[in-house]
Amino acid sequence: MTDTIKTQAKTLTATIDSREVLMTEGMTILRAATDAGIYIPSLCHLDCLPDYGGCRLCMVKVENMRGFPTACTTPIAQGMQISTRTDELQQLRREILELLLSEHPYTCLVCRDKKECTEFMHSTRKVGTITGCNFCPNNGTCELQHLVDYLELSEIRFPIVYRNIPPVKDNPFYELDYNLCILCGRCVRICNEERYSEVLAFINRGNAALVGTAFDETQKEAGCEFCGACIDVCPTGSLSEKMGKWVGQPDSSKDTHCSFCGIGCRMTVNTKGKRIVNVGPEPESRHNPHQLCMRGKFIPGDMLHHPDRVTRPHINRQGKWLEVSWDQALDVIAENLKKCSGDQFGLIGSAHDSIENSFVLQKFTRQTMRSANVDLSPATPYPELIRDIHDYYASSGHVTINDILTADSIHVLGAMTQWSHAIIENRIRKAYKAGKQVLVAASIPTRTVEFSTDYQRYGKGCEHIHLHRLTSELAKEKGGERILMIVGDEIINSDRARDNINNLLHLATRSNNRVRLLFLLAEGNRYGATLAGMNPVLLPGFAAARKKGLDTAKMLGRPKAISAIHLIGDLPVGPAIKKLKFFVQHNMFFTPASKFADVFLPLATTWESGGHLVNLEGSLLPLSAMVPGEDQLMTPAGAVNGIAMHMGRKVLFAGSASNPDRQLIPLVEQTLTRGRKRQTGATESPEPRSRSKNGRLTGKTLQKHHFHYLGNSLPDLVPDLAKVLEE
Amino acid sequence: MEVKILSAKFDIENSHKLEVAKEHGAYATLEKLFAMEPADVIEEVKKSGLRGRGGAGFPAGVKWSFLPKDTGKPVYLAVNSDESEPATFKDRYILVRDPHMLIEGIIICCYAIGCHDTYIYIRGEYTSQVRILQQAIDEAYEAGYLGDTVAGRDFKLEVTVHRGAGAYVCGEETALLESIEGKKGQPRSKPPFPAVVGLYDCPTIINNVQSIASLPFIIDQGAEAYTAYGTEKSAGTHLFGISGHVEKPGMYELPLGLPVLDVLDKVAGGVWKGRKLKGVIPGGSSTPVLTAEEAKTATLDYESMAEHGTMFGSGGIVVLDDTVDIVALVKNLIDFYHHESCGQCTPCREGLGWMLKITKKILAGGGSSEDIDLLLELCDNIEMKTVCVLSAACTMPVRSYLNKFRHEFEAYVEKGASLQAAGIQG
Repeated sequence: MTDTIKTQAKTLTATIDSREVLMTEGMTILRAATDAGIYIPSLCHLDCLPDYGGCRLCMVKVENMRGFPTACTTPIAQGMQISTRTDELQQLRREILELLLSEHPYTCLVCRDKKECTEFMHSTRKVGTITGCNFCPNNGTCELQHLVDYLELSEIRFPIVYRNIPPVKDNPFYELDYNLCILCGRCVRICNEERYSEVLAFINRGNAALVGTAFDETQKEAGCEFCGACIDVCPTGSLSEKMGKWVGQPDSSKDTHCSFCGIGCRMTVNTKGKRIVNVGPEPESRHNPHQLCMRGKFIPGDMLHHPDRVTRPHINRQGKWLEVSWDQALDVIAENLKKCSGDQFGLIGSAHDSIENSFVLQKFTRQTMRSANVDLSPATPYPELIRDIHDYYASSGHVTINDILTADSIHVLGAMTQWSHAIIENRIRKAYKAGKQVLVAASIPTRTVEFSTDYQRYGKGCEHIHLHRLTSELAKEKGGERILMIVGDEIINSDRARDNINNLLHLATRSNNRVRLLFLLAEGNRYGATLAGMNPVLLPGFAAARKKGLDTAKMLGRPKAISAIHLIGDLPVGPAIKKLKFFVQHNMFFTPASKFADVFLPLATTWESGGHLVNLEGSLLPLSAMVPGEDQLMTPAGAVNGIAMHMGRKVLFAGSASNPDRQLIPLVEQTLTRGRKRQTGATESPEPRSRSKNGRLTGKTLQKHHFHYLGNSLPDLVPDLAKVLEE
Repeated sequence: MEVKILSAKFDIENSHKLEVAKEHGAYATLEKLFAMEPADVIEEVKKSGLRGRGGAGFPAGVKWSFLPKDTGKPVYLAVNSDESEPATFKDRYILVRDPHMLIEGIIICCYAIGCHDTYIYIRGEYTSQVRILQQAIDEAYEAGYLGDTVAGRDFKLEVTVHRGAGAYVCGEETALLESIEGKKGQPRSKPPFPAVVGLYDCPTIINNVQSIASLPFIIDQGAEAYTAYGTEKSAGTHLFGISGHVEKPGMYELPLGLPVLDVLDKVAGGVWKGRKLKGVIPGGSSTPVLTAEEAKTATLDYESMAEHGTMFGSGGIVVLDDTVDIVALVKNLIDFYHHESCGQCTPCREGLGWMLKITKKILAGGGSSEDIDLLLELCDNIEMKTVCVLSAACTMPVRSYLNKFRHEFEAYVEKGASLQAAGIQG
């Protein structure tokens, strides 16, 4: 925000269009007018971006000021008399718009038949695809169309010029057609000054000026992170999403939270009928308050409407899939599971699932199947990890991602936040740009290093040694500096995770909260699913289970540990899967593991059914059902409830799967504010020779931990995504 | 008529060398300078009436006094040596023939404004000039005139030469700052002005080479010696680059306030080949043209030029004889500014393009009289409606040609050829 409002800023009075308006010192005319409900047209201004003053449409007349200052860049002053909509100004704007449109396909904009054409489509084919609006992905929400109407522009005196720039389509998510670009520079500014991806730039100059990348590199080569923020702010159809491009304009938008990573970003999903058109600001608005990353922005539609989505229950008959009804499928499952009750049974769920589903799944396992073998896949390196983190948060207060901006120095430990938690990366970059200390340590250099004041590289698998050194140094410090440690994959997923986490928690506890910890949990509901009891040693509310079950690794560790598995999502095929007596997979797609499944159930995801999650900050966030999904899809909770009924056991819940237990949400809320005091101790100085395993930052682990949904690999689902992630 | 203030050392062999320059008085003012208080230096410069020699003519001393006090941030000086205005070739003489005068001026200015880091932004095309300038700076460092202790005093001063990459717009002061910062040369919106938020967001003064080079004389001889030249509001001398259709084109140092025609006749040898005068461009291509009639009453100073509806500009006088095809000249002019537009503001980026297309159309004989009116309308829509004045630098002169020589455009519209060609045929 450019208009930083200081706490003690003076209040000024000025007159806008003969209305007296109160405003704060430092505000621009545009901001003040907008606050007073006065519309000033503009194409380059956006509240979330620094001002540029390029389009010149917001020019206003100020008494005693020379010329026509732009409202977006001129600070308001006491007693200013401002006119925003005189005939002279409107004429001026009309002429500027005329100039803008002289290089933008405008045939439809000033066509006499515009109204009829929009309503009845009677002359759709009057103009070529490149000279009019009908084939533009932004037709209907274009800011130029609005302005033409607002300024009543009916004629353009310049002949149309088509720049004839070949559209760029070489990335998986969006297309760039700079023939439609009006050079407002919003994409350039959001890329450089909000996301700090530093990919887009103005190239060439004058009439030949274009948006592009330095040295004509491809987006990927130039370092594009595919956050899609540029598409959200584009006022024209110059940048458009491949997925929703031809779906048409959305008919509804809903707010929800993203469940791909642990941050749980708020997002707006625009839908048309049963389809997601895109994720981004509501149509008609380019204001982009919820910044997202590649996964949140582009994957939901690609994934949910994937052509390979399985929408019917299937039974495996000698290696061939037979489509069956739900009743038939549930009968088969019930019949087989009756034989496998008790410790022979295991259930593996997903940390992408909602709290509600997780709660019912563990209840099914523990109550219906009388087994304690319930866990998530991928599992945490030790079962109590989330509870340890929770206890820390509950006793020291939850750490939010915006704490990154207020800490004095930030340690980023063993994390590839650029891809795994892009919004946290964004906050780190913001903190760095604001002059904060950013200290990065990892076994490989990540892009975060570019935004760091210090980078330390440790050997692969030696994170525990670095951690030990760091925590001992910090423990000696007596300064008042507030330190935030962002704890990433190499620490959390290492086979030494318990020591690592203990070490950090010990430091944090002893520092009296001067050192705070933010744990980068990979999936959206890792915290919430564990809290809801999807854990072999912990019951809902993190209560210790009297009977301890096997975790995912042990269930799959050796063949015949258990004889039946109910799996939500997907997991890597191992020998144990092949030896199972009975295997149910409840997923969106057939995967390599499906080959060994006896029954396959079509899954209704949280995008289709809603629910709640607890993000890595420990906030309980609602998920809304975005699209209805196909009729035959069912939630994991619905499916196990059906199984229980078909087995003749007690129903797990009555009524709706989205509210399986009246006590659940209150339990979650209570737990989040309450924790045990933990006794943490510093670990012994680690043996330098032995290296940790599992947590290392590589493209492979990145994909394993972060680019999956319910275990389904995203690069397998989205063409070219693997190429984007190649480093 | 000619005087030798700035150009005193221009004709001395090897005057760019420190040894030679020192023999002829370079750095002699430093003694006096460091005995003065910085505020007194500013006061002296204010009294001298020195106006910015880049074209706008803003009083230099007044500009310096806009610097906010005690911000805790460093103050920067950027010396604008991006001499790119067509027909302007005065600063290059200073850079090559008396670079030590510039360096001495920089020391004076920096002492006055409390600056310890100076950037000289020099246009990329000045390849030999930058070499000589850099040599001079290196010599000055070696001799202790620059560096940690300027002339043995407790005053630190670093001078860095920054070469442009060939963009006219980088002569605009905020685009110049962007370019030094390593960004694309695009002007910034003002306010805030560079004196408050300039280079790297710190208070910054930007002065033209000639302005800075005038300082040693003012400090050495005093403001009154300077105001002895020129007029009341246009004090001092100026380097004039006279080009075009004259017998003796070249660079001449003259006091301000001389009659235009006197200068043309007595200094530059009159219009060449005995031809008649058609017009005079008074100070670089961006200043509106004076007709032969207007030139009779105009004098070379800020006030007279303003009275004649034009600007003093950069001292680049272009003389046009009666064979000049004004329409072709205008096309050439728009072509330059269109090519140099940075592309930030709609009116300039798109508008200049259309002005060029329309002028080309007229020149090719395909224009109509509405086109001439459209050109005038475009001038109005573009001028002063952009972040910087680049677009105005194009539209102001174009409007003057359209108004003063409209008959030449009409000849093209009606006869499809220039007035001259049509006249010969008819």
